[in-house]
Amino acid sequence: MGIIDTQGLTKRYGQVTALEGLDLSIGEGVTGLVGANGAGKSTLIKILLGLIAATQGTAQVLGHDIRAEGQRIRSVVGYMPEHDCLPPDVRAIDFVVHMARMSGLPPTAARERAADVLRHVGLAEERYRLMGGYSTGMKQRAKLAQALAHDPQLVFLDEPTNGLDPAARDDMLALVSKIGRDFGISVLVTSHLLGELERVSDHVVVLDGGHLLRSSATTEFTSDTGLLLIEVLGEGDAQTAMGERLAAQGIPCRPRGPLIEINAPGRTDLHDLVRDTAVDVGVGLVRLAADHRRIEDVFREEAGHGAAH
Amino acid sequence: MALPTEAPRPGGVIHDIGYRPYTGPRLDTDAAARSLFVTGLLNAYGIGRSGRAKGLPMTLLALMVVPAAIMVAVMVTLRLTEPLLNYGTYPVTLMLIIVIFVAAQAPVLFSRDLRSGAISLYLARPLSSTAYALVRWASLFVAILLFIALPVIVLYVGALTAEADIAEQSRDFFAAVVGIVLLSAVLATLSGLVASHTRRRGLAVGVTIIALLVSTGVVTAVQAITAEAGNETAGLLAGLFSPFSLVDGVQVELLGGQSSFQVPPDTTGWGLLYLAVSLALVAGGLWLLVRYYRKQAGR
Amino acid sequence: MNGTISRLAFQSLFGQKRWWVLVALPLLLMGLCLLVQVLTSGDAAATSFEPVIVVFGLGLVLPLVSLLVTTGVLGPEIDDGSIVYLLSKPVSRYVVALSKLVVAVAVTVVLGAGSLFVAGLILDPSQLGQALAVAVGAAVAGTAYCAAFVMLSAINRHGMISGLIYVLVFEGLLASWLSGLRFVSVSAFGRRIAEGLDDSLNLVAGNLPVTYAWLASLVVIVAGCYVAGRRLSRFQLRGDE
Repeated sequence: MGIIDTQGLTKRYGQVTALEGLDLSIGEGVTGLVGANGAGKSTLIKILLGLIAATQGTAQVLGHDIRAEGQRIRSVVGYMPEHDCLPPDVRAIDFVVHMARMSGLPPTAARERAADVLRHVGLAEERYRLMGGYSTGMKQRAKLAQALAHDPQLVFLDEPTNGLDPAARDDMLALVSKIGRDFGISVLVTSHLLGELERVSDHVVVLDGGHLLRSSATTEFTSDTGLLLIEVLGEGDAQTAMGERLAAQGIPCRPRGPLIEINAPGRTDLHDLVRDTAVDVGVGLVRLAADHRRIEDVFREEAGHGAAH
Repeated sequence: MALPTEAPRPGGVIHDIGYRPYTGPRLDTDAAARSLFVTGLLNAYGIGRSGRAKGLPMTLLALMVVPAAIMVAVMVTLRLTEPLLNYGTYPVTLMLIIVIFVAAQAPVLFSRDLRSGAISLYLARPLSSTAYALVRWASLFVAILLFIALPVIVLYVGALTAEADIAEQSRDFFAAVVGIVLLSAVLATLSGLVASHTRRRGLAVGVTIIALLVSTGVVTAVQAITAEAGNETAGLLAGLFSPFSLVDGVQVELLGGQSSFQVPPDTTGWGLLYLAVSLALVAGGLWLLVRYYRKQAGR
Repeated sequence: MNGTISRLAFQSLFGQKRWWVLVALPLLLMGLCLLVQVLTSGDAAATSFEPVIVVFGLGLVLPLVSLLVTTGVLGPEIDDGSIVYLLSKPVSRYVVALSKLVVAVAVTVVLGAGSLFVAGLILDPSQLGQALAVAVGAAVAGTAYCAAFVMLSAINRHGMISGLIYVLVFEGLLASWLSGLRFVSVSAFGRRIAEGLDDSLNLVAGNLPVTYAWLASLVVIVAGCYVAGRRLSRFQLRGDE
């Protein structure tokens, strides 16, 4: 029995289907929930939390049934919503303490843990300021802090990197990783940025239009394709020159954007060959890397319709 | 999981404590409800949030209590044995101040969390949406109760100090307190409904004040007119349409108080009708509130 | 004067929750008059005139409708920041303010003065002149109220509450104690103007010259437009709040 299990979970709003027959099994560690906007990620989280009722199907979180033991689930789970949820006229420390108490912590413990958790998310000095004056990055951290304050066994992070600049985004992803690995708390993190979750999650669940597209370990998504990608730089059309010379040597290759894709899995001397060819042609070899899949390939392969968003 | 490290060094100890899981006691939802209730009650008086919030409620509280204190001082100085102000009619006399307090502070308990989105965080916790709504109502109810009852208590204590007839004063006092409890419940319900549905504080304040004052004004006007025309039933029916006249009616007929309105109920039947309407108003309003908050969970 | 802005303001006004109360107040006034007629068998026109028309209608319904409309036409947009879309258009800020105010005034006059006219007729169908006079006084007072409330919300952040204090405390309580305040009370202007138009009316406006009432109302109206325009032209978008 995993952390989250669903059987045939369905949610319909009149004519609109948010989730359709979802069968999931999510284990410990960091799991990424990926899908376009409107794919059903937030709906799934709200159903698991017991905030909305599913139309059909069953689910269990940490072994507790969502319909019968909703209260039990909510006492051991943390939630970081996607939307704004911080009152602007309260200080972060006061708010997190209050929320910890609402989750069942005694007053003294709540105060200690609140200060601790705010330090862990990086709001140690700013915790005495009113949250109305926080930047987006700080607000996201504060939201995360209230989700962790009561030491949950599982946290739902709904689009934690929303609205963050690239540097802050990296920080947040590192934090998410730390929660999953160092704190020992299971994490279900959603995003509509497909590549982002590759870095952080152990397991990825892909939703599309309310359906489960795929659910497997990240490594399977990003496994090697057996292809070699090279990038060359030089005068004139370096890419074509290089490609033609490689082809002349009997190596199947073709251009992919500015790169050259080589499909010769069997040859053990491939790297040396590439290096020597580059020298012969007189171009600089910038990159030589094993190609691996990306999550968006899932949309193209299995959905069969349109490109990823 | 990271573990505590570092042996003590001369000159100080630095611990990289890392994340510590919580292994202490976890209290049940009753404790959370109590915590929410107390926080709400304090917030209704501006305590616990930004400093400026205390100004209005505390000023209004002072405005409520000061006249009572003055009356007590006058009583004691002039050695009167009858209080100058009646316990039961005091709230109606200071209606404007009560209405402003109710209108201004109901949004603190009902609009704020809905407006900021914090309601999602509350509802993602073990406390149910029903419990949340009821606890918020309870905080507002007690806040209003204290607001209206405090000056009346001052009057009572003053009367006792001035050696008025204890039995008579106590009887009147307890009758008035029952009325105040009912009035607070009705006001909390009505203002809570307005505040949670309008969400914008300015509008909630305006609509609540307008609704309470206009309804009382209309009732007074209709009662004046129908009294002159001799149509008592119409006047009695009109009295059902304002919280103040409604509770006043219950107090007068069933508890033997003194009326501030022109056409109070004069039979037990009417008195019971007034009581039934009051209770129905509170029950119905609470049901609507709970239903509204349950819907908020899915947003 | 920009027709599109006015149209949008009008539409948004009736899309808000406040329109329940906006419509309820005049209906209540007219309903009250009907009720009185029914209960007193058409007899009580004289005695009920003051409480219903003067105290309730002119003193409560008219200013409250004006307050709700004025705060509704400008307030919500400024609150949630969407005013920025209007302000970034190549339209003068004064024109924006004026276009919105025109809508506020129109709704106030129709709902406020209009319902007072109807109410007066319900109470006493024979006194058309009286009802008209009251309506005109109410129309002028309503316009002045809109202007006054715009000024109040320009001075401080709590437009609705300061407007309520003006109506309830200033014009309600204080003006009845301190008769000197009638020189700065919009309600008094309106009543005096109505009295000036129909001599049989006695609306307790005190000792106030009619020309003063007209002039003072005009001053308030012009000042209100100017202040509204200025407030918008000095509007600064507060950042991440």
